[in-house]
Amino acid sequence: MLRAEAYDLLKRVRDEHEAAKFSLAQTLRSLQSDSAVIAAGAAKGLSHGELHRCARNLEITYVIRLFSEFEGTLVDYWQQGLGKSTRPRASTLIALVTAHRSIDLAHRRSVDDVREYRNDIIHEQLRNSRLRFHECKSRLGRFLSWLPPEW
Amino acid sequence: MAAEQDLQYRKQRRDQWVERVAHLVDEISDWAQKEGWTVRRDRKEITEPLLGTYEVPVLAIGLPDGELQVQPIGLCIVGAEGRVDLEAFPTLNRVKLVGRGDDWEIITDSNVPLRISWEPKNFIQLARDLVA
Repeated sequence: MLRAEAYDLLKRVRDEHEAAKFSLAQTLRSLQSDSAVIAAGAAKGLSHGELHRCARNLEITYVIRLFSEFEGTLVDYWQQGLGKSTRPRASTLIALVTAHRSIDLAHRRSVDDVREYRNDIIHEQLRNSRLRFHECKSRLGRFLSWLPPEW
Repeated sequence: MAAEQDLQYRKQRRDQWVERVAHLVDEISDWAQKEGWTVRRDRKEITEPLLGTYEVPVLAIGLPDGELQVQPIGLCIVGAEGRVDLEAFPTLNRVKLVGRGDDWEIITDSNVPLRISWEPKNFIQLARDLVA
């Protein structure tokens, strides 16, 4: 895998997040006045509340996807780059890759924050974004810069 | 006849767009080099349904804290006359330069336009902020 490909995966999530945000905002706006959109929503039995909830939770949903791509890259590096057959959990994987690549500990901590945030979203039903999507993306991107250009 | 005119029109639009991108890339390259940053120039292919496949220049600018890539995206953009992205590594921070008439509007990833003019001083600051 190329490091550039790993960046492309994160960029794709970022761009899809942006497209989804745009689409939802447009739909919510159209629901005020566009009878065709109102009719289409009604045909699906969608409520305003569900759409608003979807918009509110969109960012944290994409944080989960972002971290998932990041974790996938670390697994690939661990298994394909370092020839390991194990599949450590995310926290262990971050620690192992940090040690192997002598990664700056500040960068490791900032990625651990994103991982804990992801865990809180999944396991604690956290719905308030304490880290913004773009901040998460930059932290994960910085960590990836410590990986070799190709493995 | 109409089909031929349409083809001519599309070719003209594409040529104008490629010229506009080349001018922008030259401008940014010049500003970056004056700042003492390294500039690597390359080319990439873009395929757009209306314009076909064509080549444009791209840049990779080396700053002390990272790299800034100048990536033309295409001419056929919703509500605008073309788009070129300024994308930073490793932060993945980005702004979009969106063509509005003869000017470039700078749009952040929060979709908020930056109300600053496209000039060397602002570009240098923007580049630093994107890689920071």
